Amino acid sequence: MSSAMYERMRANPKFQELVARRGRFAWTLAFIVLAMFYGFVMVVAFNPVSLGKPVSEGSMLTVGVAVELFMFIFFWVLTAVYVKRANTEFDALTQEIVKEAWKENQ
Amino acid sequence: MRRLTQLTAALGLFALAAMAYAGPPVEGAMEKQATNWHAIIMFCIFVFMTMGITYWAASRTKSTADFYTAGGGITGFQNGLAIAGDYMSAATLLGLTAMVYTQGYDGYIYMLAFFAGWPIILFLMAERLRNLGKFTFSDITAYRLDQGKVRTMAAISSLTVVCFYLIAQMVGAGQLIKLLR
Repeated sequence: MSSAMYERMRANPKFQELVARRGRFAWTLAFIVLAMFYGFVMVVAFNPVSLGKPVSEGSMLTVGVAVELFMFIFFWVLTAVYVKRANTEFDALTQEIVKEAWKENQ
Repeated sequence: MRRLTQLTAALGLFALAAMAYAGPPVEGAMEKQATNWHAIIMFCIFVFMTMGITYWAASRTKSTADFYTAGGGITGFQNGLAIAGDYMSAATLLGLTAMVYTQGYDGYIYMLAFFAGWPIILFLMAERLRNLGKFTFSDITAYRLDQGKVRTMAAISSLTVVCFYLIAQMVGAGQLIKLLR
């Protein structure tokens, strides 16, 4: 592909939209993961007693184990959400942009 | 270039000197058991099988794309299996199990760090790698920055990490062999 074509793609408002939307989405997810992880580590560091409490009266499961298990599953779900959206919405948008750039080429 | 060679040699000698300070072999309450031929034979079969697969795969690899992504011809599920295999290293099998066994919940907390790193790489790095059609992090940085310097830096940093990583792996493997013999 020529640099003139790159230039046209960059000028395409759809490209700007793709970059903005994808960037916002990725950073939001990354922020959620980081906030949960570091929040959890902070609780471990400053208030470990709260994690040792049982979830309910007489239960063997403690809050810490339950929260961590939830995080394992939740991160897994976030990955699935990202993959789903990248494969459908963002890929379709990318294809459109490439197609338009080719069309203008002729 | 000569400067670099000298520097590398000096660093190498320096690392050699550190061996004088190396501790005694890891001691534990471990009894010497009768030679376990089953385990040794199983171990050898496993090693030979791995070598065989590697040899077979190497003969089919012709290009960079073949080497890193199997020519783009693998499905998402297969790739998932490969990543899972990557994660089931000695650190996971020996280190984390032992850590949960001895430390309890502390080991479990440690486990989360492995897991939390992965989505971050996916969200922030994967798309960039794919867009550029490159395979490694140093390829991406070299694309925009000074090729030679970036690659030298990447090589030095990864060798440093690998060196320390290898020490831990070797200690783990050594302990395993000690149990097996």
